[in-house]
Amino acid sequence: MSGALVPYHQRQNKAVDRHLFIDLLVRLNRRLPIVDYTYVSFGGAFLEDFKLLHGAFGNRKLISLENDQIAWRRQQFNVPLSCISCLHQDSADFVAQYAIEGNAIVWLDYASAGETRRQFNEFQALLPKLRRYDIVKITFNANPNSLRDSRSADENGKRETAEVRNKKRFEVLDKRIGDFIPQEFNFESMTVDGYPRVLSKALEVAASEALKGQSNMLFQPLTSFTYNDLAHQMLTISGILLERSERVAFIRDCALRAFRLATLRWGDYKKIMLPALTARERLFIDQHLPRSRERTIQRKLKFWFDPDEDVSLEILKSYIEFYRQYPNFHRVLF
Amino acid sequence: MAIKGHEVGKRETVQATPTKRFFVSMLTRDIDLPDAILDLLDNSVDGVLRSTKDKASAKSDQPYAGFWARIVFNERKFQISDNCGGIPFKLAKDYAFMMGRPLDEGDSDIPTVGMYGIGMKRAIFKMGTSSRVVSQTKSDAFEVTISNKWMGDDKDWNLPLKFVKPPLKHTGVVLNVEDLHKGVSTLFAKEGSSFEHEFITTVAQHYGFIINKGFKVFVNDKTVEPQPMTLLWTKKDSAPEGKELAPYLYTAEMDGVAVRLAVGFYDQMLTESELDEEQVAKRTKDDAGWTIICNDRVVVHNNKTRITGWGEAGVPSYHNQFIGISGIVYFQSNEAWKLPITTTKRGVDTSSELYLYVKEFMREGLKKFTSYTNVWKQDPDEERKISSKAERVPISSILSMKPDAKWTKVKNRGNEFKRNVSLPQPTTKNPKRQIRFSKSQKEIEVVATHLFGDATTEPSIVGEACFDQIYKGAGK
Repeated sequence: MSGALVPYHQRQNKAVDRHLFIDLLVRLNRRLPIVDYTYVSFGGAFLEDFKLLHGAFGNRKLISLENDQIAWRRQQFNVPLSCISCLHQDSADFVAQYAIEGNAIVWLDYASAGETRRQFNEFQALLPKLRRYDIVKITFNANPNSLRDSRSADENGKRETAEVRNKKRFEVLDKRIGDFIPQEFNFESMTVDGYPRVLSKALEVAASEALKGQSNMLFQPLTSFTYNDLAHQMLTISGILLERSERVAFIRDCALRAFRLATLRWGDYKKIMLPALTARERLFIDQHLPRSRERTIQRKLKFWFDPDEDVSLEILKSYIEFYRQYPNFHRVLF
Repeated sequence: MAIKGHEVGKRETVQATPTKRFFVSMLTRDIDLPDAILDLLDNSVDGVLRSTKDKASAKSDQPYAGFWARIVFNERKFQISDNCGGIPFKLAKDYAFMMGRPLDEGDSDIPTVGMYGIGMKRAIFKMGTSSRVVSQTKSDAFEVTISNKWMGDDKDWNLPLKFVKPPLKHTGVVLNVEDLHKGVSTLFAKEGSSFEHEFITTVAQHYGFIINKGFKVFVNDKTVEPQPMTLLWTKKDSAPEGKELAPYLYTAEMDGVAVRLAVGFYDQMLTESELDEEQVAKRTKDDAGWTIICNDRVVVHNNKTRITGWGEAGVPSYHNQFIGISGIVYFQSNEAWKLPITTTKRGVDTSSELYLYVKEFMREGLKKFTSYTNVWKQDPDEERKISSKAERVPISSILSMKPDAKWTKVKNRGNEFKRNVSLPQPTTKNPKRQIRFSKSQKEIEVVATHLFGDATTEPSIVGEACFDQIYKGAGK
């Protein structure tokens, strides 16, 4: 749970991911009483996600896990709502002693890059303890550079070719979680776009393995995003524990197929890649949404975001995809 | 007291015939689903051996080239199809569908692994209650159907066999199982089941040798890639005398059985901090231990128990210090009954005289490498220098080596050799000792920040740096 002191609330891609999670819960709320759920997450010193969830649904059972003494003390000072219990506890201990009555939403918001196995194992330990309709969101590092840096050199000081580097990356990953990686993957998947796919498919294996003892249950992925605010690409997957037989009906009842940002298949994911826009640019673009497409807007803007027109359009397209969740950061004086 | 009923002295018989349900439940109880499906793959491989029996290709290093088996499963059905020659009519009529294998069945002259006597039916009944088997050989094509109705009828023990027009473009077998049992159907589901992943891994482990020799296995259209097996071996030209890290090898020809044995390191020894991180890393111990192969088929995979010599006759029991040690024993014979294999093919026959003899060499090899880890654990950095010079050599090329000057005859026999060169030893002039102590995390962080400006520095590095500083001062 390192990263507790990082000002996540100012990271716009992560902020969008948090808003998207609320969007997903709104859809699930058609079938499930989200307000009655206990929410568990690693709130950090800022407890952003707690404010958001409470604001949207009014949940009153909120638990924050924090293993860092300093962050925990600061959290207690900052705690924005009286209904948040800030526990000074490691997520592994929490999972081991899991005793929530009623349904829960658990967000395993991991930051550390080198502990993928521990994170997978924790997720596996948690799943069988959960009940039908419990919701789990798991976030972990999906940056292939954390396996081996793209600027690495060989022993003679020469820069490694992509093939050599990716083979080394795959070796590292294989040592960590090789038993979860489906056989169809090899070193060629160790790219920025390929690595999240491998992790997602490996998590599918981990989830299925964890639920072996409850063969009528499955963990259904609902949304899956990658985002990159600082140097690290993260992958975040949200899913729900369902009975096998109700899967199709549940997806239909929550209109998840109509939810543009849903990802109902393991291995797939959507990228959150927001451009940094000025307030004026934003207001201008928003005036044309949701009716206009990126090309029309670009024409009206009379400038490009990038020397390459296609890249510029891509940036606009990405904004259009997530404009409803785009956060505004302003300087406020108290 | 007089009781009414049958007349005293009258004789009757009672039913003692088995019911099919009894057979089915007994047959399928003690086998796992993946093993049951492997039985079907074994039958395909035996088909290859049968069809290449008198051909030159059987002697090549790719005897299975061109042959394949495809396994497809989902919630509703299971299918395995192959191009491995088909089940000959006589074999089908006489025993392939019988419950058990009769004594004299005619495949005794090829190195088979499958056993039609039990495997096929067991696999079918493990999965479901109805099945259709189509076989096409060069001379005939026929289908045998097992229906739900047949399953429920304890009087009818014959199965209908119907000759059909050749339905396939090649010789081979197509076996379908439907009406899957609920648990099996759930495992075969695309969503929320890790069975496919685990089964592919199992096939890769158990059929690695056969696949490397040209056979192809597809599971739900995915090609199964064999798991590479390698052992560390220092390049010949870069190894000064006494610095060669090489596997222990043994080879013998005994009573019609060829034996090849190799044991060594498949990976470098783990450092202490890596051992601590065991939970972080993949369960690497899954890759350690002995693998035993009979006629190309893996019968024991990465075993770390007394069955393979661990923890007996002076060899220590397996624990994580030995995580890098891996060995392989390969038995081959045209007379399958001479192989040290249990009737279920899921294990080695530990009472086999041949196996007990070979086990002595397994233990000798193990002892050599467990001792090596013992003598070097005081100085892992120095050991790393040696082992990092070693290359990963594929096990197939190790097992096919011919004895040369570095091999010695065993007990001066002409049919048994071993290669047992000394492993590198630490220098004894200034031996190293280990210092161990525990301090609170906070204190370690304070010292780590003081020395390195980084509170997250590994405790072992912090400890060593403290010692080095004091040692410098102490020498003045």
